Amino acid sequence: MTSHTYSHDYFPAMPTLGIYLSLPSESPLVGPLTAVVDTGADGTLVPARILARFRTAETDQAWIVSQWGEYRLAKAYMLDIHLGVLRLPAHRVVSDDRGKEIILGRDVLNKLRLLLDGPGQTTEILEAKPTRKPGRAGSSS
Amino acid sequence: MKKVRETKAAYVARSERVVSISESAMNDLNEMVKLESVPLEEVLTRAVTHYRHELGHRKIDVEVEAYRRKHPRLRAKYLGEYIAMHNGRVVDHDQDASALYRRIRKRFGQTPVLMRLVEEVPERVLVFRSPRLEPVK
Repeated sequence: MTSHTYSHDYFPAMPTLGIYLSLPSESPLVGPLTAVVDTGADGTLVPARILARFRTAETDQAWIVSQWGEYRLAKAYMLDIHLGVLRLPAHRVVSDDRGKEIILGRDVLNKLRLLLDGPGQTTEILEAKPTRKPGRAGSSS
Repeated sequence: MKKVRETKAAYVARSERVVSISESAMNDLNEMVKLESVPLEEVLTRAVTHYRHELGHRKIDVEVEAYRRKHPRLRAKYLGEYIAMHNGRVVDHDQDASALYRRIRKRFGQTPVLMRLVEEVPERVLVFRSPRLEPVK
């Protein structure tokens, strides 16, 4: 179980996790970084200045839209996200060329068992959720 | 035409070659040297790096266009798999994105190649729904 203190840079305090980033299958290159836990976010955003170190991992692009309907086309990278002893391999991370925050969206959060202890002001990763491989369930061969 | 001596920074292997550039480009370079207070070599290195990023980004744009056009066929063949697309063609595919990434980098070096999970829809818009309360200034 890994525990992270809420960030008081925000009001009200924000649940956060400490992460490292690396190229796929490589050792962490950047971190520790404080990442905001955001269940309202579909994807994971990382500031462009951090992703500049992973140029070879730019492998895609993504449309992103804010709460207020502002659309933007952003670069997307394929990176490993390290959370304590866990590694989320080759995960799509979207570049944010305006913001300064790392936002962990449900694409990451849905792979974790998290306890948000508001009164205790800590986020705990209880364990990784087992990954189901697509198309394998029920296979008899 | 003015002549610029190309050099790399001292901490990396140095390579030299004399190239000619236009008067206006030389003036732009000199202006950037003044503006940024960095040596000419640094300005050139940054400019080349920036240009290379831009080219890479444009290539991904082109590959994404091809992906959109070909999505019905790709979906029929590769649904649930990651594909790698280079020059509008699928050059590799795998259920394991890490394995695909490693093979593509080994085969194509730093050349930008689109790598994407093939889903039912060609693209999804990622929504960020969390407005923040900021102190009034």
